[in-house]
Amino acid sequence: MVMVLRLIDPARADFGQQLAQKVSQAPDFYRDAPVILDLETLARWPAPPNVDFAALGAAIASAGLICVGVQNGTPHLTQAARRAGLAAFPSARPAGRANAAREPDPEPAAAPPPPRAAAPPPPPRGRCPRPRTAPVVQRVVKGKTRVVSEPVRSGQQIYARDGDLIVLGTVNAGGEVLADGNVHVYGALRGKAIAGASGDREARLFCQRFDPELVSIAGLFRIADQIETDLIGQRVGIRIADDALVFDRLS
Amino acid sequence: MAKVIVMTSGKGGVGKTTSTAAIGTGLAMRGEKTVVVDFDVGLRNLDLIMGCERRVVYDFVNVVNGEAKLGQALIRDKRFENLYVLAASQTRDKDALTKEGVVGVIEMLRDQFDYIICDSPAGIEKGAQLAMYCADEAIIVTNPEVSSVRDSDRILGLLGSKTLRAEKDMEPVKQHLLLTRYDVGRVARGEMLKVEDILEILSIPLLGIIPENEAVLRASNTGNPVILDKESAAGKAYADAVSRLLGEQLEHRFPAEPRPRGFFARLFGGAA
Repeated sequence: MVMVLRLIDPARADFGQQLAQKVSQAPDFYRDAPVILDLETLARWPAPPNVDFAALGAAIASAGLICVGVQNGTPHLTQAARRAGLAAFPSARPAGRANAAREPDPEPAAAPPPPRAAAPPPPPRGRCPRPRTAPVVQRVVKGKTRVVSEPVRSGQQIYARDGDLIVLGTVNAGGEVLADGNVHVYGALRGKAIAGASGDREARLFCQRFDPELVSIAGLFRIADQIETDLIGQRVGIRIADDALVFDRLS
Repeated sequence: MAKVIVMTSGKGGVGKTTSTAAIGTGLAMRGEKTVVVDFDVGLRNLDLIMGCERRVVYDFVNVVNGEAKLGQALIRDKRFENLYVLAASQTRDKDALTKEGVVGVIEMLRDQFDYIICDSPAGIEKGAQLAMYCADEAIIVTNPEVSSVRDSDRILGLLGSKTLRAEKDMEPVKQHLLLTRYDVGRVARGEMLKVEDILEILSIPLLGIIPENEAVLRASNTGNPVILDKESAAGKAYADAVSRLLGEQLEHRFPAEPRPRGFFARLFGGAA
């Protein structure tokens, strides 16, 4: 798993502090996570600034993350990063970049925009109705799919970190299934199911017999009482469209 | 090879102790050397249901603590010479048992018996977890109502993680469902869950269906396991369950219903 941290202003003194605060929201999630610095914004400055990558790397390390390299920099910036011992990654263009590109170019002479170290919402808590901010740190690498062949029983929690989760049997009331990717339940879903647990709004949820306690994708959730009763017992797929959960009956 | 079977449910009052006594006695009647062990330290009842409460000198906790030898604590049943009871302590609590102590006693029992039936306390805490820890098989005692079914589901999850077999990555604990206090009339009226619904939720094989039966209370009060009441519906149902536990294939017998109907109609169409 590699997260991308987009650097907007290297000169901000509170960079380390802001990053540490983000990390503290989900310490387990971020612990020793490798990070790639995205320099695209800096590269679009009229005169790309000099960046002290060694100091930046140390600030990231003190927040508990590991800076492994840079991407999307100018040759000059990339060279400086290399000298600081960082790898230069070919430009990856994760989904959601389209939005970022539309942002106005920062005026370096005027007040610089605050550094953006926004993170995906911390691992799922049904209480959080919306993702906090548009995730700028994104998961680029997808993990393996996890397949569970036993019924998921009351009190059990199964989390497929970074990947999809496939449950061949039922998820009983009081059981919880979570995945950073999609969740498929081939039996009845009577417990809680959470897809896109770390903020992936493209994640989906599918089940053969729909009777959940709660369903959630990327922080948007619906409890049993808020689910239309004519969906109960049906084959249902759930996705996000226009910032809301959409329930599709599968034929 | 000795088999350790835990009788467990999560929920209290569903019939674990009654079923332990009945099935333990049933196994002994079939010639298996059997011991029933009461894990409900502090709330011991199994000795009462087995009718040996006046002969308890040393108990399970004494053996665990090395205060008595196993042979001194085992109480031989007066009806069957191959049936023994290991009573719980009434004056201690569940903290008196340790995992190492329990494993040690169960290992000793394995050398002497064919079947070791562990009567679990209610709940999912230490006492219940110790009762299931050494189990090879588990009989999940469930009443046809939602809270009991959910608690059974929880216990099934623990069996998959909190047992010696789970810890050592051995073949998982073999699970059996024993439905107790099954009232055909109330199921038909929709007041109780149907067998098929319970099986669908718990998805484990059915060992038997014990009807709600006045013979059970009578048996408990007189200290005679209900399986000895061979004319009673509950006694017959327990005898069938014992046969299935021993590997026999038997159709599930159902408590009498007003209209004569086919077996499957009765089994799966009760509330129609």
